[in-house]
Amino acid sequence: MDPHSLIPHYQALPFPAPLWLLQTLLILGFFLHAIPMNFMLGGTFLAAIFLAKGLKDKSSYEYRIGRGLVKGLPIYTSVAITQGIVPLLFVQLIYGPMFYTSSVLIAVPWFAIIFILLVAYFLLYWVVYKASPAASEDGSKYPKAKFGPLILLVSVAMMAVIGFIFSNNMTLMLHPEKWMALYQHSSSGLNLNTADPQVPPRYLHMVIGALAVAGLLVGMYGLYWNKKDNDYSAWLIKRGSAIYIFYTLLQIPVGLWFMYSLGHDTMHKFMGADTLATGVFGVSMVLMVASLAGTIFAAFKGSAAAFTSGMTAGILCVLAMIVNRHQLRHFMVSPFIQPESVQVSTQWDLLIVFVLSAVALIAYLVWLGKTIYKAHNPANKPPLQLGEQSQSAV
Amino acid sequence: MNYPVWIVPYLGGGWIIGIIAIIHVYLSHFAVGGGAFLAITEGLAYKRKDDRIYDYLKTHSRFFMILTSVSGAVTGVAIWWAIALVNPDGTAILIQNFTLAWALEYLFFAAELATVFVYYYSWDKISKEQHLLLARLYCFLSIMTLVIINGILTFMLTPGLWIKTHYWLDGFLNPTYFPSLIMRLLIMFAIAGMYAMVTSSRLQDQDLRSYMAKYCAKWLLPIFLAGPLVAFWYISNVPQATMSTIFTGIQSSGVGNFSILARTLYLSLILSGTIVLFAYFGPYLNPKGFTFRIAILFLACGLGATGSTEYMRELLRKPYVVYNYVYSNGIRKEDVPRLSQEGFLNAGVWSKACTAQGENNEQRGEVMFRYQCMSCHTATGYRSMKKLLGERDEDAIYGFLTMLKETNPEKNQYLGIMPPLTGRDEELKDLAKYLSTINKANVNLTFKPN
Repeated sequence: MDPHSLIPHYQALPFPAPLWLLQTLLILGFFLHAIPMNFMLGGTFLAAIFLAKGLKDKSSYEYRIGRGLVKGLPIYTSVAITQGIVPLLFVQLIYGPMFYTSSVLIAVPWFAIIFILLVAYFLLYWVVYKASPAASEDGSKYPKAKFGPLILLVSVAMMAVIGFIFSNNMTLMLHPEKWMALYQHSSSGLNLNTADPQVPPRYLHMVIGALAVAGLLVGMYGLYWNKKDNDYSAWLIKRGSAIYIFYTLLQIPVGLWFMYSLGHDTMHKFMGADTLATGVFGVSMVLMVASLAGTIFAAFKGSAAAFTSGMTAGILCVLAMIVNRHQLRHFMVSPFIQPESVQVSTQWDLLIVFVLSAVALIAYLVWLGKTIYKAHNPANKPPLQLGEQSQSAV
Repeated sequence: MNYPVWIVPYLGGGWIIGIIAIIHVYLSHFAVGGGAFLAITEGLAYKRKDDRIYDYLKTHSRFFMILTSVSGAVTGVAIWWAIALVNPDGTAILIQNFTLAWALEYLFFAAELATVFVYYYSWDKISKEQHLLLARLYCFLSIMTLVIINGILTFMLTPGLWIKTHYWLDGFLNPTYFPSLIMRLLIMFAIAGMYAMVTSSRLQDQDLRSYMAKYCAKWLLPIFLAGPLVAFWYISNVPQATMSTIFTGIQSSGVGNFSILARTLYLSLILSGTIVLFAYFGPYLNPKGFTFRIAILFLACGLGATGSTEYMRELLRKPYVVYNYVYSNGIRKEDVPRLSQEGFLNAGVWSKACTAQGENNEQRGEVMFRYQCMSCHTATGYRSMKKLLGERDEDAIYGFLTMLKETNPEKNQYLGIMPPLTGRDEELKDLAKYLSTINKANVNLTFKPN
């Protein structure tokens, strides 16, 4: 069946803002979702490993960072979910005809994401309150602490399933030629897009990326402890950098596999055929090398400055890759839908309110950040451990 | 018409949205009302310099933070998932129209969540004044999310001038916007009181438990006093055609003149009234006898009242998704004459593709059923065609379908609650043929294309 005959129409209503702005918000929104999502997925995995290693000695650095990560996980998860609203909203608006269709075709696993996420999230809170006592606390009050790493692994496995379902949908929306066969297989949505050769490398690319970014997160904890506990800080920076380097090197063959799976024509768009796509890809590669250089130096020396530059390059590399991801989607759907063809009627009044509110939000978040930082780092008191600070409330 | 239909056996897609929405409404109303509760109660603790209330709030706010940030936020996302799967055309209309409003709501929601975390993790770490300020900020931000989402929710029932202008603000500040906003706020205060009863019933200090039980019961007072008045205000702005279906009822939606809508309305009123009376005679007059089990009972009643009220609100909007613009089966009102004249199945992208896969009349009829009936009916489950059609044969069903095609309310008494059937005569015959197979034994109901 001709896939062009399966592409739903856009609604007979205009877009509320120019397409370039909507696409920018989609890319920016996804970036702000991807970073906390990586913290959540990769961070839960690393927390499990660190906690398991440090279980016997709660004064060890392993236990301390494991616990520090655990305390942050519910917040990263919450931010990841909240930030997910933005790309979800704009992908529905701009690429709705493709996205809604592929979602319906895999409706059951797609809808299951909600329940898997609920359980995975509650498990994180369980570990926070029942299985990660501070070093100073009486361990006998936490008889289930030994299950902490295991529960975290269960949670991370559930998150990995969510990621897998996402990879399925994000690839299926690009391949309308597969749609009718899937609908014939099950119109109740009991499908997946596992036959797609793009799915395994794309999924692995995302998961390994999350682990690398979580390495940066460990280093960021090191930056937090810099000048408060220098030994611990240097240890965190070295360890976090090493994790980042390991997964980033692992990413290289996976990335090549992913590129190769795109097929000759699409792959070549990123290798010269499309100037902008090639330029962004080139920038991402330079940033990756820069991030490796910074983190390799930091891994040996524990230098906060080297780590900061490596981390900044690494995060910008994620942003460049996200722009590439968007370009890939646009290339692949453009034979089927043209969002450029949708009429635009800019809702100026609402847009102005939105922009002003966004600026106010940023200022407000800075103020909140300062408030919580000062609350936990009073000027006249020696700093407490990150985990211990909330103990009175916990 | 444009998208593939997600077949949800027995339950129907509508209930997928319904179940998620009821749970989400109950939790999100708590998130907003609970914000006011935290702010006002902390103000009380501050004024009375009562550390016991502070201690209670610390425990309550942990429960609050976990429940709202996990279940509240995730079920909110689940609504997006559900509406997009069950009604992609309707969802696309809402999103295309209100993207920026949703984006604005997201900003407030992000601020709200950030505030609740800072609020919780700064207990005893910052000054009492500053902590109280955080509680008040949370309260403000969460109410702002309601202020925005309420515009989109009420738009669907009363799109107002938007129908003519397609200007977002005309749709947003629609006739039921303000009564709905006030009503929801009152409900939120009541729900916050009920949730707080649960946490305060666990208090060890008996005096404080009695005090808090009585205090929480007072949160139900606003809805008791102002609820009926605001409900009247709301109802007087609802399209009058829908109001008449509440009380006159129609054959298919209930028994005689006692329609399902009226029954749901009475259930909602009875449950709400029970809660208020129960709160007065229970925790308000006899706070000492108030226990955790009673508090849970309150919550269950509250969920029942929320469920029936939301169900009624959804029924009120029938047969539309956006009143007078798009029907619940995704067909736009203005397209009805064209579809009836030129044919339905070939007018939509996926309805056409599925029809092309069908081998015979029955299978084409099944495609008609998917696109025009399945948004509300199932073959053998909820609002089952098997039950509704009874012993009718193919000719009788066809006669019935030709009546459903009428767009004149004098000739089609179902127009108040069902979209008119669209399609050419052959398509109606195919549908009749398919429907007549539902009652026959050993017929495989699922459309099996090549």
